[in-house]
Amino acid sequence: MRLSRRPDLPRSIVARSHRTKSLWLVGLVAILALLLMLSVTVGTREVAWTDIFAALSGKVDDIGQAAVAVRIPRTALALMAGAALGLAGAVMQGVTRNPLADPGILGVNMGASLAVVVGVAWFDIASADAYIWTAVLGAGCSAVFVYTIGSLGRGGATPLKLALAGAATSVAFSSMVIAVVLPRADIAGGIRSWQIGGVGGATFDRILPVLPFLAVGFAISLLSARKLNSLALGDELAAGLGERVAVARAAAALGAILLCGATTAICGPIGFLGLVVPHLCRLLVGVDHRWLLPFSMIGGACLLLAADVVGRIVARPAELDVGIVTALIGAPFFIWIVRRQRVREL
Amino acid sequence: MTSLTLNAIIEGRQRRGRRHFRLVGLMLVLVLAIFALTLSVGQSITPPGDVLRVLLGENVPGATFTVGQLRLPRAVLAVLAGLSFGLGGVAFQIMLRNPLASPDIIGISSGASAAAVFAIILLGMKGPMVSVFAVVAGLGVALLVYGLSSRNGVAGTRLILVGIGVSAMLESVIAYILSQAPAWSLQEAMRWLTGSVNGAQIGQALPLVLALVVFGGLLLSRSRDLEALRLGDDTAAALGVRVNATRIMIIIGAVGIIASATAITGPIAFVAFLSGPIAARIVGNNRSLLIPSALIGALLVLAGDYAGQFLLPGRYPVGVVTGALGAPYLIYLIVRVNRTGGSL
Amino acid sequence: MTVHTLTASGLSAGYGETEILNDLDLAIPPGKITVIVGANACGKSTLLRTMSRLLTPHRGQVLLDGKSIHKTPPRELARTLGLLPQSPIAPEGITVADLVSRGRHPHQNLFSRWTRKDDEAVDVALTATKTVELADRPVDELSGGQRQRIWIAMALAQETEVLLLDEPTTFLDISHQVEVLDLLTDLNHSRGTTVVMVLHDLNLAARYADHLVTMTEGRIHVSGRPEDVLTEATVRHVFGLESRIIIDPTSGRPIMLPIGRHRMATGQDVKEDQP
Repeated sequence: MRLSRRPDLPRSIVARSHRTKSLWLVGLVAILALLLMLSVTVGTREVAWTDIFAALSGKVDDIGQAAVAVRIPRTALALMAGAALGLAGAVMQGVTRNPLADPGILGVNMGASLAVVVGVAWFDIASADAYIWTAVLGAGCSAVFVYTIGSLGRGGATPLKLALAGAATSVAFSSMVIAVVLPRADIAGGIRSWQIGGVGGATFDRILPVLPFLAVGFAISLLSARKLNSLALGDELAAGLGERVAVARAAAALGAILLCGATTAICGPIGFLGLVVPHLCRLLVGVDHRWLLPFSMIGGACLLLAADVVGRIVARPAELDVGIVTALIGAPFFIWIVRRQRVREL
Repeated sequence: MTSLTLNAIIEGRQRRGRRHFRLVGLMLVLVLAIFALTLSVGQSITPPGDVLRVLLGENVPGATFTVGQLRLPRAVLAVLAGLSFGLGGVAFQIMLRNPLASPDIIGISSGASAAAVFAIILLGMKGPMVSVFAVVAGLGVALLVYGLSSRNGVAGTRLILVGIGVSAMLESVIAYILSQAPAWSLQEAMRWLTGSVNGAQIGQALPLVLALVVFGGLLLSRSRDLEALRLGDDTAAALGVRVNATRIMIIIGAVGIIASATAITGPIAFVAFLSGPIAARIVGNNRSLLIPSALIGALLVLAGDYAGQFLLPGRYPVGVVTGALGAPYLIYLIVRVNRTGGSL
Repeated sequence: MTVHTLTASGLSAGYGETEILNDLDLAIPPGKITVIVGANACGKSTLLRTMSRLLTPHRGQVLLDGKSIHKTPPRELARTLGLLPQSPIAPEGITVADLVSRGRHPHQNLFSRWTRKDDEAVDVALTATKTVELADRPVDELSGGQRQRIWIAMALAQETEVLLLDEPTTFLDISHQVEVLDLLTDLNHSRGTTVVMVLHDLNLAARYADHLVTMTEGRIHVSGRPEDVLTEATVRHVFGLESRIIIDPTSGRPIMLPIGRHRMATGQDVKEDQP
């Protein structure tokens, strides 16, 4: 009977076998391990292998070992921040069904920045916990704000409207950040370096407080994979399949906001990572979120580690902040996606 | 019968025309009034008579320096930059039929700004060379955005999105160059990030006047074709407009004017973006918006700079004021445009 | 009034690499109403866009009075050949009279001033479309049917003797569709304007056309008087649809009635293939 035939699933969900995907996963983890090693060994200062092993076992007797000891927390931070941003990007693209959704494009990072800057300048927040709460709050508010503006009017949240609303909001927020910071020469320097986005200068003491936020964010996001698969079929069909659309969407979005808010709190805004990684991973494993989410996590970690290592090498003896590197890699990628889309869909 | 309706039509057209010119005249008067105000009232008040004598070249003790060296260059530059941003911005918005497609959103301003920063900080350039460099870079960015977004013809939406991407990249370039500057000052950085007329010198006005005459003249000469483009590319072509040729002329004119201004004042936030829609709200869409929008731009920069200097606690560069003032209006505009799906 | 001939010969056109029109020949009878019909994606709109210079053909040419329109200066062409595209855009808040005045664009240049002749053209256009009383109203406030008449008025103010329209009745309800088509017929009768339009509705097309053109796969299938063109065989070939043709008692024109698989008064529904 023709009428009772079930709707076609997207072809790529079934196209690739689990086996190929598992192989890709192994490969990606191997790359990650390699990058972790590079991140500890490569830097502005050349360090002998013996010193590296010594430092890894906890010694900090000479300069070389000390340099490596600094790189360890930095590597850990890059690993977590990359994983968080990659995952957050994949979840946001799923929640909004929008190929251009990304914490940077949607103004979420800028919202977190503004909140932190206001907190520092006006409310004298200083504790790490307060920092993170403020950033998460700012990220959440601006995500809701941008999505609301972008989805008003005909046709809901189209990629164009969402990207415009996000870009415009970012401009507005960044000018507010300047307005807040300008009269405060005392905090301007610190905030400026934080604003570009980077993982340099990380210590375990600073990383520790965000761990609970990241843990909750990772858990919520990864658990929403199945719901994101239903949402991918469109709200009406998802509801028809018995999904509570609004709840599913809010939960997944909360996970993503926790992840990028917490990341922004310690690293500053790092753009484009959340945009690029899920697209690359989709090329590898297709659109099934149960595979896509873990892949985006690992892929995000790989890309941020790589960007950080590259930033240390290209500008020797200085360093290029990782936020600049990701923007330089990510923006052309964004343009590539825009060009690939057909005009009508935009 | 026919002559009766004909008269009504002529009368209606003339009535709307007179209203348009009255409103434009009012804007011009306002610009002149604020200009005069900024010349005579600052930290100290200079009597209008003294201001006039300084302008005529007389040496008035106490006023020649304040008015002639500090206030006049600043006000002149504010007016010129405002005219440029207003004119260039609205030309883009009309051409792409989207108020959000202004040069500050699609990367032209950040391109010119990045080029200016690059030329000044890394190449050590000065004066008019910086302007030329910025204009060339602005045109380069426009060409890049246009080229990257053309596939089977240029679609407005794709162009805007590509522009947002290019703009994000250029802003990180600006941030990087600024972080490399040997003597880094927040005030100087502000100029290239949000725009400022601090430390204006009268000599800087010359390239701007030149740009306004050449590029502004080009835009004004295309104003009728631009009006036809507002009805849609197909309709404009049906009315005999060479759509692609007109677009290229408009891009050259608007980019030239915006980049020249940016090379001197930096990308004054939101002025290019706001002037057109504000002008449209005031004079309506029945006549060309180029001149009203230029005047609104001048008003915004003049008033914003004045407010940033004297009306707010602390001293802010004009870009921060226009940025903060523009934000709520911007959001209102996005909401309204999304609801109606319409043009300016 | 001079009579203009519009012909296409050996026309191949499309977007980018994809070719939609394929070696197509067509002659538009001057002073008549020509209606182009066909299934979705058969190239109707592409044909109209190529004939009005919006699209440059890959091969072949479109000739207006024997001269290639793609070699005529656009402003000059726009004084003879007008086009109303499918979705023109009205600037927010513009008044009807000012929008219609935009149709005078090809008759003006950088230095010319607005003249009495321009006002007269606007007046004639508004009168012909019965929109004089709307002249001072903003276009946004008008209904869909009124708005379509305004756009036609703009095309009239252009004073072209050939007028191309791309689906002028889309988004209109049936009474406004008839109103627009009646208006275009009035124009054709009173001014001798050559009208070429793409229509979706086969029956309205047969009703209003002097000359009916059917298209499939980028080529003309048949063209001629509606009575000769609209046959059961044509509908089968062009739309892949079984149908019956009857004669409209009011106009004497053919009407197409589709035959589906169900609701047969004569007996059993036609069953789909059983397993």
